[in-house]
Amino acid sequence: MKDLTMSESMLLLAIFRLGENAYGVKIRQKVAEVTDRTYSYGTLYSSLDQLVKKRYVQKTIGDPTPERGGRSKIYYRLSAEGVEALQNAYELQKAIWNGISDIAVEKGRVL
Amino acid sequence: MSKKNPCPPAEWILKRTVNPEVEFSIIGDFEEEYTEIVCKKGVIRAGSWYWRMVFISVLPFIFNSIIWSLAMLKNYIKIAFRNFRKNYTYTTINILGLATGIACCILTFFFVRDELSFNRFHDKAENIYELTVVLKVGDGFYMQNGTQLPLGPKLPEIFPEVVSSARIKMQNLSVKRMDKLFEEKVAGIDRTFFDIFSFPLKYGIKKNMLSGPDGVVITGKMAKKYFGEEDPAGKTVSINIGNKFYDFKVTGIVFDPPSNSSLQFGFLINIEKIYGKELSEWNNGKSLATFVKLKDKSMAGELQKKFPETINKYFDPPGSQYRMHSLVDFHLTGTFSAVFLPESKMEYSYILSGISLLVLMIACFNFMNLTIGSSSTRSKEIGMRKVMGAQRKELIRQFWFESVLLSFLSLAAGIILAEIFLPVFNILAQKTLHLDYFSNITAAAVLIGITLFTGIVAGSYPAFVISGFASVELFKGKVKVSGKKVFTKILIVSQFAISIFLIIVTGFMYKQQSFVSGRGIGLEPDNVIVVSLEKALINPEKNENVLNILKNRIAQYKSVESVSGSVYGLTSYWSSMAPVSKLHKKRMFLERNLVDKDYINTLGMKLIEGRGFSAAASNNIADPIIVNETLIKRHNIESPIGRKLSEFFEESFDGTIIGVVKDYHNKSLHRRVIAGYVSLNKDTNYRNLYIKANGEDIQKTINLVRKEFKQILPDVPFMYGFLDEEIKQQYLSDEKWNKIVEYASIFAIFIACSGLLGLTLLTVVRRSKEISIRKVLGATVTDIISLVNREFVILVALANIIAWPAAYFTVGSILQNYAYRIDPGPDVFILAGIAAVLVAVTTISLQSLKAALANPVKSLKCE
Repeated sequence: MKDLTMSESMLLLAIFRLGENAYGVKIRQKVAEVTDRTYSYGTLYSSLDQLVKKRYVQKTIGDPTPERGGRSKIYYRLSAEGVEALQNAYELQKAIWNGISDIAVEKGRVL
Repeated sequence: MSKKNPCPPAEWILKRTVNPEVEFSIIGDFEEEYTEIVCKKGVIRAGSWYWRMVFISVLPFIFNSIIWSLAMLKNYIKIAFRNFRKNYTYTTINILGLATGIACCILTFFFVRDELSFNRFHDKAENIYELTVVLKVGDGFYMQNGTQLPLGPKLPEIFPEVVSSARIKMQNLSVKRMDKLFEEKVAGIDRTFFDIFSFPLKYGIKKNMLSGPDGVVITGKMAKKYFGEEDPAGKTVSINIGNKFYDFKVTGIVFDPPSNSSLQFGFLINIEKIYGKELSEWNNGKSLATFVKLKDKSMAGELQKKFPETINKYFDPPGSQYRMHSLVDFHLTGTFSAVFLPESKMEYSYILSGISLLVLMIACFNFMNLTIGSSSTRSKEIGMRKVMGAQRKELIRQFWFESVLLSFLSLAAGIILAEIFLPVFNILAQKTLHLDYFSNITAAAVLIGITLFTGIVAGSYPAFVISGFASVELFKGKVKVSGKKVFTKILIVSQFAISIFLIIVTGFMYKQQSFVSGRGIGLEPDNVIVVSLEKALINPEKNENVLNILKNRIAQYKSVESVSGSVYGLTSYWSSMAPVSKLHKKRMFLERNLVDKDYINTLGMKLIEGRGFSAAASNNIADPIIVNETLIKRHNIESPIGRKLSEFFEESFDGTIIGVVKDYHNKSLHRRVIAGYVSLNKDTNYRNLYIKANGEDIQKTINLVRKEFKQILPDVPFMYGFLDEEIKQQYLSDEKWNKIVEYASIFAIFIACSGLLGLTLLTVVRRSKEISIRKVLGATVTDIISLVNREFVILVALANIIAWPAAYFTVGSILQNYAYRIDPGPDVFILAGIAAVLVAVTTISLQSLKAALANPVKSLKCE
């Protein structure tokens, strides 16, 4: 299994955080909320499609809602592989940053 | 929360670029966020956000769409091939049909390209013109001719528009080198010839070509013929001009003139060698071809207008008009040249293109029919796709893609077909075409264009129809193709109408041909050897008795029945005059040939009145002539024997009629026979010798004749031919076109039948349950077969009604070209109609036989 890229983990975690309510608008807002990074809808949907292709995420079509002019939303949920991928990523991050998290990183100097 | 469309134009952009699968979700997202921002920051901020977001997102969306489409492509290809294999009968029929259409287009393309390319290889070819003179010969009679000899070089001096001019005199002269003696095409030219025409040099320096009077430039082919592997440079060949052989030194070798050059030659010599002093004489009655190269082709019209004041004033008698003919237009539209033979017509290209398009259209019709019909088997697949979220757009894309894919497969098959038929086509079209698809972009582009076009056009209708099936009904298996039945019917009718039309035209052409050849030419040309004596004539004093000796020597042989000489060839144009008829009070054509006493016998002409030129009886008449029927009829001559020609014409003619022969057609039956007569030649300046052999071992006879010839006329090349072949030449172009139409109709019938075949299969499948039930209820095999037949035979009969008037009209206008023609009677029409019906019935019956014999239980079982 390949490692997740940064943006992939951002999206997957956003989806995880949103739980049942992970659809386009919310995902975009959650990512912006947590990481200050704004995705355009174009890149957002492209990336989401990539995740679906890699089977980390599943798409389901929800019911039509009145606020959206009668259109349904597409909900995204983590798949089992997606969860596994996230876990691996977390382990990897832990291993990389192990023991370094206490050290202060000052400007220009790493102690 | 506003429900209305935030920004319709932006939304429209979104809709266009976004992957249709998720389109609704994206638009919904946009709306949702928009309304949030409206609440928080107001409409204006929201609007600008919307636009900005759309702007940033457009590129990724498009990119994504493409990726998704490509993803589907793999699936489409897989499904397409799976489908092809599943219904391989339909697929094969479709491919064959389209391949035939494409093959026709390929051959036509190369033909037309070749035709259009004639004479264009010269540098600035569009500025090259030939000058011809139109002379008035009598009231309403005009003749075109070449120009006077000294005119050429004067033209650049007089007219600033003319950059250079060159004269050409083309002749067939004897060329000798060592033991090789043949007649070749020799062109006498000015040095400026190479400035106007681009015939690239193989060896030699352009400046030195023909610098001396005795130089000759030969083509590669001639170099091989006369010099073999030797280097010809500087060596000598002898060319016979005016019955004397002159030596020429080879000063250059050019590449053979290409096949798309109207100007063909073997040797180029200085024109001064042909004419001598005469070249600078005005009004000496001789003419040749004069070409000019203008500064620009737009000057041609103006220049031609200047001619009457300049040329006519100084150099020519008034009443003769000078005309300019463009070289590049000559091949397709030219009618006269002093040096070229008009070979082709624009019409040929149009006709071929028409036929190709026709065949392709029929193939496309078939394709549509079969595809729509066979789609019923895919109903479940289509239903599933729709359920899984496929939009109509995507389905249309899928089926269109399949059609285009099939079209490209047909392209491959079509290329193979074209290669197979190329040799036959080349013979028919009298060309040497090569199918080089990659020589220039045009060919490949046109090919791919045609394929794409065919695929898209042929696939459009099925794609739209199939994608329109509603899902639920598909699962129920209720595919209602019947609404489109009208279209199907129209397709069948038109296909058969086209086929029947072509068959009728072919049929009549055959009839006309056999009428023409069976009509009896009025001669017996078989086993008549024709020997050309033209070269022997040049020095008449020297050859006078010689020709008689030759004739007598040849006549001695057992295998020779009779020998005769004539001044003019049978199929060439005789001495043509236009005297004023006393009866009709206007000028009429009159032809005359000078022959010896054995002419009538040797050629097997039929005397219907009077007698021939036998030596004894013609002693008492000074100027005996034998006339043809047409002369008698045209001028209402009663009891012609003994009357004098001058009785009927204003001009005084020598000639007392001693006999009348049945009309003989020396030219093709396109023309009426011209009133003509033959008179006894006082000299022996025969150009042709006719030898009637007795049919046994013609080759031996030819060898005997050759032996005598070589003994008596050693300096003259022995050239012979057969009279019946010479006559056949007249009809060659007709035969050629008959063959082409014949092939076209075979194609058309084949395609129409394959279409019918496919449809029958479909009908049988569609109505399999019905057929089974009928069988169970006691229908016989015949009943079932006639059931299926009934659906289609009516259509074929209908096709007849449409085809007949069109065919009648076309055949009528074709027959107009013939002076002697058959009457288009009803027999061919009826035969064609019956044939079409028979073919249709056979095809249908064969197909439905299988269904008729099948076990009804089988199809009733699967529900």
